[in-house]
Amino acid sequence: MTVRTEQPSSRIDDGIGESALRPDGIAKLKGEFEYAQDQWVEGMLWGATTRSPHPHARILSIDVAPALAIGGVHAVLTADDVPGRASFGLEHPDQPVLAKEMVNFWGEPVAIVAAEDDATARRAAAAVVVEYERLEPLTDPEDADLRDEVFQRMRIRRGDQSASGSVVVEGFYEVGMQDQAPLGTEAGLAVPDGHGGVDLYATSQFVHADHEQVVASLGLRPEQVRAHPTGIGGAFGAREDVNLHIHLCLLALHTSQPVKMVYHRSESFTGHVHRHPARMWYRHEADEDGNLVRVRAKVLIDGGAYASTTAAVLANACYFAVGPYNCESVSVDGVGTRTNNPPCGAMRGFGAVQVCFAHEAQMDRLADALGMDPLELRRKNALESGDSMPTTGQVIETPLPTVEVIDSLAAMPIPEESERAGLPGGSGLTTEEHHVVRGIGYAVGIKNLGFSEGFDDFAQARVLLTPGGAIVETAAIEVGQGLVTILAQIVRSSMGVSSVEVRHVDTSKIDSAGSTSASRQTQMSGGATLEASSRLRARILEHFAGDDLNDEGVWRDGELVVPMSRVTEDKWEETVTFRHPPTSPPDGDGQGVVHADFALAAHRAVVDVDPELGLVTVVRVDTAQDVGKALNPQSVVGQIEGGIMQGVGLAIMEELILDHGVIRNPNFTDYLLPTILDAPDVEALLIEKEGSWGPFGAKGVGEPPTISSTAAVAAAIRNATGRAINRVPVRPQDIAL
Amino acid sequence: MSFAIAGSLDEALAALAVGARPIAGGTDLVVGARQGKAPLPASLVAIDRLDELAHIESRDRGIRIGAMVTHSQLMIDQMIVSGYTALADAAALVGSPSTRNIGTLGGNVMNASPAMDTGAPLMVLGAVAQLRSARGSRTVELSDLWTGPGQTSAETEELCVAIDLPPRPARSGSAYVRLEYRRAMEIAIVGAAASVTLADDGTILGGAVALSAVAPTIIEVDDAGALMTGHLPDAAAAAVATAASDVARPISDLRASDTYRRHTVGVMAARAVDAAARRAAGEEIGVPVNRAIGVGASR
Repeated sequence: MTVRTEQPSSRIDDGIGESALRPDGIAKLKGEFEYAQDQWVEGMLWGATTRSPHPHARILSIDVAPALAIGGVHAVLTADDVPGRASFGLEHPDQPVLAKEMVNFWGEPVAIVAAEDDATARRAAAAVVVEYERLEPLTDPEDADLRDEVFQRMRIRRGDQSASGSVVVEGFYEVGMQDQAPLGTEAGLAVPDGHGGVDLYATSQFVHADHEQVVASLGLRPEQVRAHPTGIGGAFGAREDVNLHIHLCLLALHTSQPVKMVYHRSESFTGHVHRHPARMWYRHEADEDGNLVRVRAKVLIDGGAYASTTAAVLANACYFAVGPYNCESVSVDGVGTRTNNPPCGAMRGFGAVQVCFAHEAQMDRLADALGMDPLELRRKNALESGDSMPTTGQVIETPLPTVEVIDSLAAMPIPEESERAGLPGGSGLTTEEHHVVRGIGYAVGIKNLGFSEGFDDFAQARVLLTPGGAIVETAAIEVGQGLVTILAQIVRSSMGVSSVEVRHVDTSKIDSAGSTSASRQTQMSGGATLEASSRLRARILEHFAGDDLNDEGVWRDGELVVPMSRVTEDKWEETVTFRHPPTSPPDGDGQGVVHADFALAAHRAVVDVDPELGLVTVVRVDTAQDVGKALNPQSVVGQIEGGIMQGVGLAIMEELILDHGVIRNPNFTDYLLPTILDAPDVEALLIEKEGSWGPFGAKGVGEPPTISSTAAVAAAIRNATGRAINRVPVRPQDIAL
Repeated sequence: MSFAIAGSLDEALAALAVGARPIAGGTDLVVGARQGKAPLPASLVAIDRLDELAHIESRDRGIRIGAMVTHSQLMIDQMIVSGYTALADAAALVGSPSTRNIGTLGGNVMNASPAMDTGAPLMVLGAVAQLRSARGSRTVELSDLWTGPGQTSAETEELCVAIDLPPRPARSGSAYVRLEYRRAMEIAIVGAAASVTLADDGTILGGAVALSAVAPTIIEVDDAGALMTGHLPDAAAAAVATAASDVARPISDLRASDTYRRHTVGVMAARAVDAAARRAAGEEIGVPVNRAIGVGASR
């Protein structure tokens, strides 16, 4: 679909390319913004969840009577009370709304209650008596692979499988289970409409997917359920899947009262999916000049108890297993296992993060074996526009400035040894300067943007021009990334109107915007918004025979011909469904045009290590990132800084520790997140190469900062210590012992 | 549940005599209850308004630190920073600024966590606890007070009212070092405190070393004084490192393996001796509150 996209003639404040302030920023800083947790209506009840204390058990009986006997308890529901489809799931509906005969992971919901206050609801949830027969949990993913307990296998074969190179490096790599750890826990409010339907206001990244799953499990007609976007305190993938959504609606319809639920921190850790832990076996072969000749990889990710997005994460891990490098002979075998570990799903950079740690370690090893500078090896093999993806064979049509990204990063000044960011060992006297060894490491990562493999990926947006200014209506979720700022900037620049409000509307008022994930909303909802506002401007100009539009009205030949007050006497509205260039599913060898676009970043980490104690301080992380066009540079840098923090966390401290399927550290005392005092300085170069199909040539920017930052920190620790470092997070004992 | 606010020490002791438990800052009691470690006691008596317990006093023989003195007071008090520096080091590292503002020394001592930060410094500085009850008072050595994780030899009716520290000999220094994985909101993985007195020739005249988080209680390295005496600090530190690793009885948990703790506690003990000896020799090594942002006491 092509539209006339002539731009307004005069420059407009806070348009594209400017760091417009966030409309929600001040309210969030002052604590005035309404998050999902803050919702409150008169007469509402509180919900709570009874969860399995076992990772694998048969349910022999459930007695809800003791919970119902508690004063103030209005309902206790079990699997028998689910009127519609008994299960849900983003890709495959395999996860029970409430467990019926079996529990398959620690913390799986078994019953839900509604009571007059939070404390009573939690007491009642604890009073439900469930009799279990404990079963041996399957928790080793390699065992699961052998037993064929798998959600998905993936096979990629490209080129001559007998090719070989004279220089060979092999390695085994492991990535632990990271959690999204959003500061806002899962929360929501369901309000019955009095006619058998319900309105849901819950934390989400994708309200239309929630809607579909709620409708199915409640056995309602689609129009009886409205899922509303609400205030979100962070997501990072944890809010793509349903958790409390169906529960809230069940309780609200059962009690005919509004019901609110807010997960506590420990419950949040069990109530959402995590980043897949991975084990990866690699073999790289190169010729003596350093050209990659063959790459073989086996990638195992553990999906835990239910499918969630394991298939998509596995596909990504396999497609990007080689990284942004040319290689004509590639084989990748992937498996996503089913175990009794907590379910894993989407998390920022999904799949690409895990394999980047491995392929970048391999590239460093290969450079070492060749006696070649590690950046030179990467430049020599760099995958660029016009090249074919080493895994799928897809020719890359959009800009991919790999060499420029690497060169730009390499040209950034390296800090002096004397430049410290505090010493390892926290804030105490633990480490002094003479204990410290400095290390520097590089990594480059690549990932797809938007949904792939033939998925019908679309986003709808509506733009209106009213006497109060322009309005964008969308169901795309603002999770804190700044979408509401970007959409307004797009309308200002494309329509010429400076007052723009972005309104989140529910699932009954607009079609899907797709998920706020896969770095896709700036390109997808941004694309829909650009097209809608451009078309609306064209229609207005045509109607009034004008040649320009701005806040004052319609202009012709430099003269105002119709004032805005007259223009907005008519109703102006345009709805657009935007689709990115089509993709197709892979063939049996994983070949095909499976991706719509790609983004790339490179990171250089500088670390100080105290080798005797194994402690690491990340001094700084510098980066160059392929962003297409920076629509709001400050927001891009915000994504980069936050993404790097999450990458640093995975590199040196963030890990959910499991013991036979039980999470041992579901709290912020023992699940260590970097604090602001642990945050490295970051210098970011935005590499702008227009030509992507995103609005104004923009690419998604949310995921690349997490993909190679972890690998760069690990490389820097290797450089400082000489240790192999084949596992992240790097534990102090991996260095000191 | 009952909650009373004591207006005087006698009122507090009377409440304890009939089964109440004391609450000062509440940083262990309340947080523990919220995390489900232990429910709040049925009867609480608040002692946070007993100003008489909130002072650091110079006495004929050393100093007395009231039980209600907060970590924030300890880390900037001139008597503590100059004479009992290891205690200032430890107080400065506890939790977050808000924990330090409200958490008290008496609470930290009586909570008896094996990972407590003020414990090892108090031990090497020769501290004793003053316990009072409605029936009288007594002085208890810390090694007799702490009997296990969260356990003390105090009777339930006894309240810790003060910690007494003996005077410091000339040319003495002390330091506390803590191993932690991040820069704020941390708990000791292992910790070590050392106190050292130097002879005129720079050799060590005497001292003590104690360890955190490597045994059911804070423990002293018994022969540290003998191992160090007569040696230059470098040699003394090396000897203490081996002795500390030998005496440690660490556990493996979420944070670290027993092997890692045993290895690092030796390194940490040596670093504590080194810092204490340098302070004894007159080198200024600042009390380290968040060096990353330069907040806190500077020396």
